[in-house]
Amino acid sequence: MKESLVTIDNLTITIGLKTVFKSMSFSIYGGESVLLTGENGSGKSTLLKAIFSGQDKKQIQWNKKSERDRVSYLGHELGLYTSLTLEENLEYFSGISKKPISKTKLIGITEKFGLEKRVKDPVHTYSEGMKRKAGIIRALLVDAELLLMDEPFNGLDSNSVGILFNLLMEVGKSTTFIIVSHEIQKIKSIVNRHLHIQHGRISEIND
Amino acid sequence: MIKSILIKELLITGKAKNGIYSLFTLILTFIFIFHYTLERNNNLSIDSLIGLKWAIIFLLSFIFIGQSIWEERESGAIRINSVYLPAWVFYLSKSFVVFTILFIINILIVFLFYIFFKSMKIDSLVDVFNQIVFLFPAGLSLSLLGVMLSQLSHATRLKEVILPVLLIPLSIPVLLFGMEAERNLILFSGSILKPFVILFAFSIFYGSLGVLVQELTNDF
Repeated sequence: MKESLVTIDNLTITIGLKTVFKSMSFSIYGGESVLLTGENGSGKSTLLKAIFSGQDKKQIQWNKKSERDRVSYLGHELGLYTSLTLEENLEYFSGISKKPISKTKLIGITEKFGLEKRVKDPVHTYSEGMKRKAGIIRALLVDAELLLMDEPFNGLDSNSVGILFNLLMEVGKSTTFIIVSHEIQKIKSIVNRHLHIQHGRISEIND
Repeated sequence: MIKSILIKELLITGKAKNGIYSLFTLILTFIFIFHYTLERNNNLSIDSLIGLKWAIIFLLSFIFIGQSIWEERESGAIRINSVYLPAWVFYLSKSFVVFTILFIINILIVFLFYIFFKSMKIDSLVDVFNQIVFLFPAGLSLSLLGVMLSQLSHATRLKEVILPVLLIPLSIPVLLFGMEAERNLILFSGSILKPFVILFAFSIFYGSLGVLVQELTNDF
């Protein structure tokens, strides 16, 4: 029987007067790769943030064996200090993560995205696409047990989309990931589960 | 881990556009304006200068603390940090860096006052010590309080709006007490230890409160 990594149990989230989810329940199992879809404003990003922050510990239960801080997240915000260089950012996040990936691996990912010549430049000097790539590198820096990515393909050129796609295939062999994306057809080939949010309810799509 | 945080905080303060450069410009602007408008015709008394110095320090700390959390918030890194770092470690490290920089700036202000205002006399190291002794615990209190409220403002989603509303009333006792203690010391050779301990007690109180607030507001 598969063991759940994180269990969402009766999760209700209200923002202002709007109830985003009401009594949402589902589990994410170790080794799964999940595509999360839904209309704009359906609460996909809110759900990822809630899982990442462990907003309500009673409603979001982590497997006792898993290490809570081995979760990595890429949201709409980059999670990078823009006045610092990419190198300084990566050194900082390596320093605070319990299990960062090896430096060689990190350099390899940076080279794949073609940012190796810009690592010593402040992030605010990057173009939007480059910032997005830098954010992806930051998210992949942790040897994560669970990787959460919110529309990671947005703003990437076609070459970088291919690189990220390959990286996700590689990462998916050892890491559980949840990815929010509107590029359903493309992502479907690398995920083994598809969840859809509609009217505050989550359902599994089997096709 | 703590080394990484301290390096990052110092780098941000040094490199950010709204970091130490803007703070230095602001100090010079304040001092020049007061020098030009008040000192030009009459020499300001030492009593007035102490008040003026504390008022400038209060305003600067207020601005600097607000800026110190800005980059965390704008980048979204505050969310990432909240998962990897214990809330109290993040809070105390940030407060420590803010305090260190504010204290260096405070010493700089003392010397700038000496250059710009005739009544400000620094004849020996004792004079320098008297000018900065109460800035140490007061600066620590303001840093711990400010970083705590910055985090609170972020967690409550009210962001910048709540910061001055809470920071001004809570920091005014520190400002007034510190200023009076320095006046008593310089003008009437008052005691150092008692007001120092009281100001330091403010730091401990705000620090403890800050750690508690960080733990309570960490899940956002």
